[in-house]
Amino acid sequence: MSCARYIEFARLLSDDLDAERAASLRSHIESCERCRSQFAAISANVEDYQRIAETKRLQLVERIAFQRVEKRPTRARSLLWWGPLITASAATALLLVLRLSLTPSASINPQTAVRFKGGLALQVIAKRGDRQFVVDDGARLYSGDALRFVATVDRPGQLAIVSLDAARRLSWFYPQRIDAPPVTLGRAGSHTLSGSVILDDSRGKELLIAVFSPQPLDLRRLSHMIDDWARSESLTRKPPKHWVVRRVEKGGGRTQ
Amino acid sequence: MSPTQSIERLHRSYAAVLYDKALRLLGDRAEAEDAVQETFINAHRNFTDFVYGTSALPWLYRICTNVCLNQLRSRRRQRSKLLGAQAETTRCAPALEGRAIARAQLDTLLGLLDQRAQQILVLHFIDGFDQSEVAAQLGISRRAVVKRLAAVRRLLASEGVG
Repeated sequence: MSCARYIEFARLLSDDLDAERAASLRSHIESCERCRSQFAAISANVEDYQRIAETKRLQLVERIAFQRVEKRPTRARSLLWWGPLITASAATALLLVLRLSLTPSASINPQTAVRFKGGLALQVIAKRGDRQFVVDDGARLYSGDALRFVATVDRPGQLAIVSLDAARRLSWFYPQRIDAPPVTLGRAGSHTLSGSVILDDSRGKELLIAVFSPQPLDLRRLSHMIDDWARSESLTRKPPKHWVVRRVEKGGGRTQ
Repeated sequence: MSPTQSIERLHRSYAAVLYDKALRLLGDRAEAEDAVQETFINAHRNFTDFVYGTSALPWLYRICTNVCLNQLRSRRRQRSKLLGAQAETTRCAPALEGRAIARAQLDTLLGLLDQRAQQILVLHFIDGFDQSEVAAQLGISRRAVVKRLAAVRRLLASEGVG
């Protein structure tokens, strides 16, 4: 084999290589003076650090805990933090969190569009095979389900829809990437968003979050807000008062 | 497992090799230790970026690279330590595509590059990630990596390295 790259030495020392590759690399190191010398130098530094690693780990945990305490907003701070967005959107930025819940709805119910004071109603429709149903609290969703969204607004503005899964990973539905512009709804009324979202095979808790604002939405800021909320106290934390949250319990594979 | 627990676990597995990487870039043991801690703090802060089911090492290397580059940038700004810190380099001098290059030269070179090119230089030439791995880590196309590497090579040649 040819000489190893540095990262392979690091992987070997971290037990990050499969057994076959690790054995092959060790064998090469034995036979190659250049690699043996490099590997010995890296190993020496690794050993040096391992002597202090436990102390460093404890310091790290303390520092993270300290930062979390520092970061946890007081009510005043929280309002201050949200203030720019609230004022920028004339206090009408709304967050809708729909629970992707457990039991499929048997039929479409036109009353299931979730409405909020201030301008947004959102209906989520799932398509599974030939069957179509409204996603409301209690609906169970599976990998491969296609979701369509109908947003009804009382004024023009911008809309973003994301999902937050159990591992607190944010997936962008509308727009599909954080660096793309939000969906622009150019007039008051009902808008069926183009395309559909095919659900992946992740399991567990999942939240669907929709945000509408008559002012331009800053998606990076929104992402940080959601991330901070999800990270700081887990999903059981009460969200800011202008959020509407339904708790999530999603699970199981597709049965049909 | 909470993000903090996950980070602790990653620290146990990878802190030592990250220390070696930081030491090779920074050439100072205390600074390298700090860089490792900063790497894990940043990793905790951006834990949602981590893709489960993949090795955490490239992700941590990218974060560590940025931490070290920031540190080096800060040094250059302060106009201190730029050519110093040779004392501890004997067993951690970086190899650049097989050619030894003094860290003072590396510092100078990094100062001539924009941040993206610096990341690519470190991840490819020093850490040994291949072009596809670098592209994946930085979220850019392989073609963009290739173009940047060509520019870096031209610069290395003009600086008499290589």
